[in-house]
Amino acid sequence: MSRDVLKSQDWFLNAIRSANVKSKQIYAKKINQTPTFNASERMGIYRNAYRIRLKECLAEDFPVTAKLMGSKKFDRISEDYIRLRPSRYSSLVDFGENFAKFLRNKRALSKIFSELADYEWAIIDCRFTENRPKNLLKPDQLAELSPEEIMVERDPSVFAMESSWPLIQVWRKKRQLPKKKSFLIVHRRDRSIQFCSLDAHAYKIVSYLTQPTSLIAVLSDKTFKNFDAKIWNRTFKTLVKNEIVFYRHKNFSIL
Amino acid sequence: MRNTPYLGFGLGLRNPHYKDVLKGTPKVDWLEVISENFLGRENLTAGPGLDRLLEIREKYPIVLHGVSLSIGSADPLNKKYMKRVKDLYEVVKPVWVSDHLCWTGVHGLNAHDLLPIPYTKSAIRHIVGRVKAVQDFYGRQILLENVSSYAEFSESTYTEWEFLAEVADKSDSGILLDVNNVYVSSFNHGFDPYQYLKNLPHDRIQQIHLAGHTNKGRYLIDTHDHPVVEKVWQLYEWLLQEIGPRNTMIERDDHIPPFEELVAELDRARALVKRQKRTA
Ligand SMILES: [Fe+2]
Repeated sequence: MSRDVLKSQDWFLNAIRSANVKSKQIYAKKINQTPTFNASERMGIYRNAYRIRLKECLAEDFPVTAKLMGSKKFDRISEDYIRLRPSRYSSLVDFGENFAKFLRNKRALSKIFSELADYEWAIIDCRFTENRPKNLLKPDQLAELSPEEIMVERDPSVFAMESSWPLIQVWRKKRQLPKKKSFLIVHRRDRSIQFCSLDAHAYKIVSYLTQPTSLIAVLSDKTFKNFDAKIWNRTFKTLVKNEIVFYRHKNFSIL
Repeated sequence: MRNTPYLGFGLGLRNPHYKDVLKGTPKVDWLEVISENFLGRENLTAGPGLDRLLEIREKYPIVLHGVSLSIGSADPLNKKYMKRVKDLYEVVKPVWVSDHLCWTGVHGLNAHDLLPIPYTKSAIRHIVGRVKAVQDFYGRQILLENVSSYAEFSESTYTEWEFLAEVADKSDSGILLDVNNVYVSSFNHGFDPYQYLKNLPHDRIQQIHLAGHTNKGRYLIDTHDHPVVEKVWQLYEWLLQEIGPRNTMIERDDHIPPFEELVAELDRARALVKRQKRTA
């Protein structure tokens, strides 16, 4: 490691991250200038680019959160986020990862913003999830196998959440709606991102399946002991049909 | 010394143009994509973007261009990032690979910008060691691109071209020469762009980027949102006469026009090479 390089980069990064513009003389000590383009203006380009790039990234990743919050407020909160949670990611696509949590910790802010941000982040994150495996069991193969041999799995792209608002409608209409509890998921079918509301039963199953579980274990789990068999079957069928849940033979499943 | 084959004329493939390339057979010889757009979160995943890229690779040679290697940083090399990139290389099998001669952050922080390096002896020593380590890890040569800049450290004891030449020679890496970046930096810092081009090790130049910028009057900003300007075309033509044809492509990242428009812009580069061959 070169100490000179570290010293220069330390200075440069501080200068572009700093909220206060330093005096022209300070920049001129480190940076060459010309009569028509002084050192302070030169560093100003990097300072502005830094802020704008990160703010634009948040505005692009959380468009509806930004719209509902109002641009001034969103801008102020983005500035705070950039200052307090500077990027340590190798790629800009990850910068918004903690934004929803950041909003949740702001006590004075309505919870709808952090919930919307969670939802909008799931839409981004979905693109990077694993593809569903290829060796799935077809419905007609299930009958030939015992429940011990069948694994139930949630599609790797599924993000499930509950909200105190009808979040999908809020997001679609881009406006506030009265509170109403909702369960929803974001997932990916091939290349297209899907959103859907779930009923309480389906949500319970989806949030239970955080890892591959044998069918026998699912059926005997006390979480589901009050489920009506008819509702259970119907719910499961719908989840499979919509590619939210799938079955695999236990030999193909990685536990 | 030149390790990459000559493929001709390419374009930087961006989101709005995927369908043009997937459905049609536009007149380009190869395509460059940004590596980071195909890296999964933690490990490489066969996400939808990568599937699409692999489909395109059936039709066109692919070149991978990175923006996050941060080869000039005082921080240790980011091995986790490099592992993901190497995995991507293994899947995509790019004809050649590149990143930038710059740093993007230090102390683990990332400014997500291509920042200028102090052109000093100790920086050369530092970077050469890192480029060698990266090339060993990837098991292949990388090309390093000159970035456009707005600030130069007063401690610099080399010109930018001397610095680039020495890093490339000592680490045995290739050069991805961005002619627009040379022009933008020459305007901003007041050096002669022809002197820059003249003094590079020409046999190390394996790819050329052409792009547009924004003229702010007293300085230029590298925005990649305009067509290539006349002055840059002149530099490119002069360079062709000096060094002969090189893999050339146009980069456009903002105000992206229809694909055919970029293909037409690229045809100008094609015509220049053709004309030169005729007069040679
Ligand atoms: Fe470039």
